Amino acid sequence: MTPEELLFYKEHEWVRVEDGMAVVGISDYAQDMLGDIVYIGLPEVGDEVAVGDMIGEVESVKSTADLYTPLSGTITQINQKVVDTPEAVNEDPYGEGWLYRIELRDRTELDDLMSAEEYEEYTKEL
Amino acid sequence: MPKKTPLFDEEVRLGAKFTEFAGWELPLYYSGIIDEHISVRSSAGLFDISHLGKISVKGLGSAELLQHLAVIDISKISTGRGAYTIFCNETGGIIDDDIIYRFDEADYFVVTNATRLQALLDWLVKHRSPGTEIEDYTDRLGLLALQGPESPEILRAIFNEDPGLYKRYSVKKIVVNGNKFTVMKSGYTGEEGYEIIAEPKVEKVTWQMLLDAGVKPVGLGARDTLRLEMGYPLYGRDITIETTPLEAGLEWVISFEKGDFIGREVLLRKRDEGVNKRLVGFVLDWGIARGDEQLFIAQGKEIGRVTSGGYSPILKRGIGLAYVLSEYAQVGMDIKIKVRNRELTGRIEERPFINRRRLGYDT
Repeated sequence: MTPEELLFYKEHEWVRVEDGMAVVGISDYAQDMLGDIVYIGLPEVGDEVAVGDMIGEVESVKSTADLYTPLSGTITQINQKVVDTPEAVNEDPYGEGWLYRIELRDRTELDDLMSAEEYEEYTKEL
Repeated sequence: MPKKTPLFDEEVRLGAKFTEFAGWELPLYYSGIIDEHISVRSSAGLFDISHLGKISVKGLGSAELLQHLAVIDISKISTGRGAYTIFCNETGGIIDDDIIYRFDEADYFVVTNATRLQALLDWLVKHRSPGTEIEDYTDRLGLLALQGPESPEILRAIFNEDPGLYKRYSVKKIVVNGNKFTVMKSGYTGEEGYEIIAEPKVEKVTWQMLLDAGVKPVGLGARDTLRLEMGYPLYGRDITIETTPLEAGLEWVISFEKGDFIGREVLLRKRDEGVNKRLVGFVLDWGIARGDEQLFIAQGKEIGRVTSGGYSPILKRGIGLAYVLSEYAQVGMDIKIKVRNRELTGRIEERPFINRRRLGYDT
């Protein structure tokens, strides 16, 4: 089940808002479409990114997916665990498999994201 | 609409994810590419490869026809055996790489790449002499591959007899409970294994028996990672009509001594003059190059291009095949590959990439 408190971006990233920060990962749908994930390329702490920027990649055995940022801001932390053991994203995309934290620049960007319910509808149509 | 193999419905039921390949709807994976790959290396796996081309070449002129077209010495294939071969055009370009089996005195059977069935059929028909029958059985016969170190005992168990196929590319027609099978000791994984031809109805029963015996179904995804780990070239990527066996490192297949065959003259000249590019294997430190990327060495000098690339579940590294200028085709050479906005580092490595003995996979 998709955790209801999450927000989703059209490129299959999820966002969990915690104070002025957001945690970002990829959705269960995305990890399932990719299959076995073996490499994850993430931005660096301190990088300034703008919504929609291509900031990394997720490599599975069968394909490569670009990683887009659903929000603008400064990268404050990356999840070293998924860099070292990328399969964590397959196993627990909404928990241990989070990718990075970002300090929000513009909270109104959150309004453009989908709710969990809207995202489920969105993936059904793909 | 893509074609479906006789096992399509069974594969849907098993929850396979599908992909289209060579005009066929085929399973890409079931449980996951890595899981299926490891099963084949450590125990066994079952593949539906019914899409492979199956051509019968029979009659008085059959041996002569094949001798004239193939780069190997057909006269060395005895009844009940087979051999890996290549068919070239007049300029030495590869039309297809295949396994030719000899069922009887003037009864040969060619298993082709699915993508090259029509091209090879046309080539054979074009050169056929009266008295040689060429027939395409691709859509009428199913083909399974049972691969992995446990496959001999699994095959013995389901057939209730030892088919006695010990040597690579040996072949035997057997009948079990009234069902006819053609069993070949062959495969594309680097493991012990068999390929089994049967009519669709029999293929379905055999598929189910093998699954019931605990063999995991394996899709095209792992078929590709398994062959890549062995460094086997794939037609359409690593070998094409534009490449000759010499550049692809397949000179060992050619019998120059057997006499004339199509392509011999050019191949002989190229062998003596030397080729300017060669197929090599590479291993990356991080990341995957999936094909078509350029290879560099220091100072940004371009030395070649990736033709196949993927992930090795055993090495846990990106691996691949590339054509590089011959002077750089040296094991140990440091290389860089530009993949999207990253520069991946690695080196040219020996093939096969995996040392099966060291990994404990040799039986």
